[in-house]
Amino acid sequence: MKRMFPRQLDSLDALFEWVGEFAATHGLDADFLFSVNLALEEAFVNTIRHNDSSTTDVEIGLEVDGRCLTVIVIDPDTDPFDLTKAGNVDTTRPAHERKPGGLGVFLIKRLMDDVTYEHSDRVSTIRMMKKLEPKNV
Amino acid sequence: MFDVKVGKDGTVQLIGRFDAAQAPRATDVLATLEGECIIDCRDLDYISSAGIGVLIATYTRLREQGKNLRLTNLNPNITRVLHYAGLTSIFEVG
Repeated sequence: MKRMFPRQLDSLDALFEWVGEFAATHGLDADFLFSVNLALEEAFVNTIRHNDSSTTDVEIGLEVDGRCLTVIVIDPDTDPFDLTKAGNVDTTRPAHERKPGGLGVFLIKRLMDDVTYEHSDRVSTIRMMKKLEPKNV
Repeated sequence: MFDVKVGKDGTVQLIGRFDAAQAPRATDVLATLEGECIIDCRDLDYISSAGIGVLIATYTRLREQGKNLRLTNLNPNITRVLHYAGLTSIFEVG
């Protein structure tokens, strides 16, 4: 299942509603949905902030194959920005000594089981996979 | 849906979904807080890095005044995310 979303933060409401309907259809529980929503918001926001001059919509895909859910975020016209190579956050540092940024990507990697990035012909594709837990299969 | 309420007694409530679209409004409200601060999160369903960033900025500002920021009544998913981020002890989560 896929859908285009306008490149703006106001799209988050529609994005969460759409993912919620997908989760209900596939019997995904609230804890699983929380993680997926968080990873998707971080990837979507990262995508629009690293290509803020574009006006093209962002394509979001959701795929479930019985063993895992894959969330796909496609920016159809962008320079490369591989978020999987973004630096990790030092979560042991006191909050007031931390530099802004990086926490979203850190949380994606922590909440999802696998994250990949591809860039070809100006199209960037982020794939985030999360294994279905027994209660979600 | 998201809301942030500050009561006359200074109590603060975060309600609903604290995502990147809501961060500017929350920043404006939390910037008015002074003194020891307890934020009741019993009706907060969700928070992303943008929301956490607003809380860190509020914590840092209050800390510079010698005050604390404490979060109470967090749901397990939000507690888990704050734990991953290494922030549960900083916010004195309880």
